[in-house]
Amino acid sequence: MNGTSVREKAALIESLRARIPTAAPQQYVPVPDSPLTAYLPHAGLPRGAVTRANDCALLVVELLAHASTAGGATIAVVGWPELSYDSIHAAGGNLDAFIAIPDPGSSPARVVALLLDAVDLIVYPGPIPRPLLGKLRASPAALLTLAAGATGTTGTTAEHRLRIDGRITAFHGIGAGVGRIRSIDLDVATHAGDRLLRRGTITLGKHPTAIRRVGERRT
Amino acid sequence: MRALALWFPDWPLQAAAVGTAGPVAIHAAHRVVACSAAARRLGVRRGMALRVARGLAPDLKLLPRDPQRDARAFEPIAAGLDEVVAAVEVARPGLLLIDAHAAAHYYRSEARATEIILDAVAPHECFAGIADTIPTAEIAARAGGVTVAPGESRAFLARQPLSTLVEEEALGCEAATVEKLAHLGLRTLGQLAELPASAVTSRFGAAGRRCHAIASGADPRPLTSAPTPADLAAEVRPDEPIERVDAAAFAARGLAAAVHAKLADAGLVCVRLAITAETSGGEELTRVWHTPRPLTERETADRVRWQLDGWLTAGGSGALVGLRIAPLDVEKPGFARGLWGTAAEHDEQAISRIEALLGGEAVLRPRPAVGRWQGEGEGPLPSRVAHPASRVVLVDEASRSVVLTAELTLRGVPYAMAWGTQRYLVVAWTMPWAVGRRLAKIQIVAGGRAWLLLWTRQQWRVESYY
Repeated sequence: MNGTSVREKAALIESLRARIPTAAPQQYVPVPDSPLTAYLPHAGLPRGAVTRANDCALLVVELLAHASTAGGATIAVVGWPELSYDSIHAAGGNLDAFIAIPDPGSSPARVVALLLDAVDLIVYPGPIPRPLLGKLRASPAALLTLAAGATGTTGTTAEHRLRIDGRITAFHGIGAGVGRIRSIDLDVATHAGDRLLRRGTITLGKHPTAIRRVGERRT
Repeated sequence: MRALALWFPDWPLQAAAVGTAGPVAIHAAHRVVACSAAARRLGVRRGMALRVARGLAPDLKLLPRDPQRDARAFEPIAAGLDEVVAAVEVARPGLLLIDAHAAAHYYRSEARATEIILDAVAPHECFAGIADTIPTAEIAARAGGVTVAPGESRAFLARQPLSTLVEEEALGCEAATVEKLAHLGLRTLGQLAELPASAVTSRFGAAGRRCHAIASGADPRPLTSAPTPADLAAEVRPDEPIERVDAAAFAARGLAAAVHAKLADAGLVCVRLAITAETSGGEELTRVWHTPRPLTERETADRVRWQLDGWLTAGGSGALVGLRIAPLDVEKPGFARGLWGTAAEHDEQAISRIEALLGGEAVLRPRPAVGRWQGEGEGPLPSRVAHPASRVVLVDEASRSVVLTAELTLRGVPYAMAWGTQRYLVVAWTMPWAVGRRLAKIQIVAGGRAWLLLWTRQQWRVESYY
């Protein structure tokens, strides 16, 4: 393959990619300008459906930061008091787009239901009760959960149109008594149902120059 | 929600029944507080010094302000409206609030309901404004009786002059704040609404936030702010039936004091008040007063006194044998909803409903912490905040505790970290850096995570982690 055809191919991919948001403007909450963008079908999170992330807060922070700024989404975070909004802000997020309900009381599902027509994206780390799934389907909101399955189901992820898993593999810039964390490597995999969409490594942080890779300590 | 505001222009003059033919002005503290159309034609304006007004209109007839007279004359109008619509509330003498949604439902359209309401108050000059929120309806009434279509509040308000905010005292905007906004070159509510709410709030505080909220078509008062405890009401059955106004005033003061003592105990303030009286004929009279700001004890007493005066003067109802005042809507003092920014209207509705479910402070708006992150470098910040009581122990290879020395160095080489029952091997760490005078932080990588530890009171505390 010569250089011209590679460039042509790149241009073609670019032009196709540019058409993606216009092809489906309503059905996805866009997560643009992030290394994660390329991992998401239609560059966003599906509306009216549950997206499941694993228990990797760094990944969620990256999603929320970019959905709230360039994506322009309004976001509600229900029942997740540990989430650091400072880290979302530091990752470039627009905190004006957020509301937080750290303690949703005894009826978190009711709180989520009330938010379905009010915001673009709801983050709720707990399991999603089945009755909520019906309401969600008719609503314009995307729901991001960290729990494995809907309650009442036996661990199935069939309700999850999209699954995103992240795992921190390396902290760069920090060593034995030296440096500071400058960037973080994250292994990311996205699945639609059981089908793997994409797997790869992204680097988060302003200076992704690896000073020293610190994976596991040999003892 | 749809609100209808019924505005009686120059109510103090209508109440004084002086006729509006000649130039007449009501004054207080050497200033004009209301004037007739004839006086306005001669250049007399509200807020003008009396001296200047006399200069403009030498034959100006002057009357002192008398809120009691205004309220007394207003009660029969409100009572007359009770015959045609439910839930008539008084914002101030000269301004009534009606639930337009209910009225429109009953009379099948807002236009028909408005017509019937205007007929019911017929001899009096008044304007009916309908809009999505109470403040917008009040402004729509003053704009000559406009019906603002649902969702059109912002477009309507954008054209209204900034001065509207002070002209209607029931909006509860501070004159000094509005004056400052005008000095900044703002002329319309639209220009004010275009400013970021956070900027207006940081410059002008709660008063600025209120102006901004009204200009944006929001109701700065939550629909349901805090659940109203039932036992805030106060009741009195006087030994002798109340027939005279002075006796009513005395009872009003006592009741207001009792209610405000209960409110103070509960740590609440009252923004909507129901006054109920039982007459010797066995009839029960009730009137609801609605205010933009929390009532002081004196304001409550004034409203009760005006109301009782109105009932006694209207006659026909006989002496009052029982009185009761009950706060209907209460707030936490200084409770400033939306202080942290704006949200779309449907967003606000959802927030109101969640607050009704969980209480007034359940919904928060995150703000970036200022000055909290120092020395962490330019990498991503930790994505999880730990519980403030999360202690960890760092040890070296010989299981000796790794602590911070006075020279801001670590004593020992970190080897493992214990967090609760978990044990992690340390793979990397930073040198400590000082935060303020007494605290220091380090980053460590252990157990596949990175942690931000804070040295405080001779212990390592987990501040946050990745």
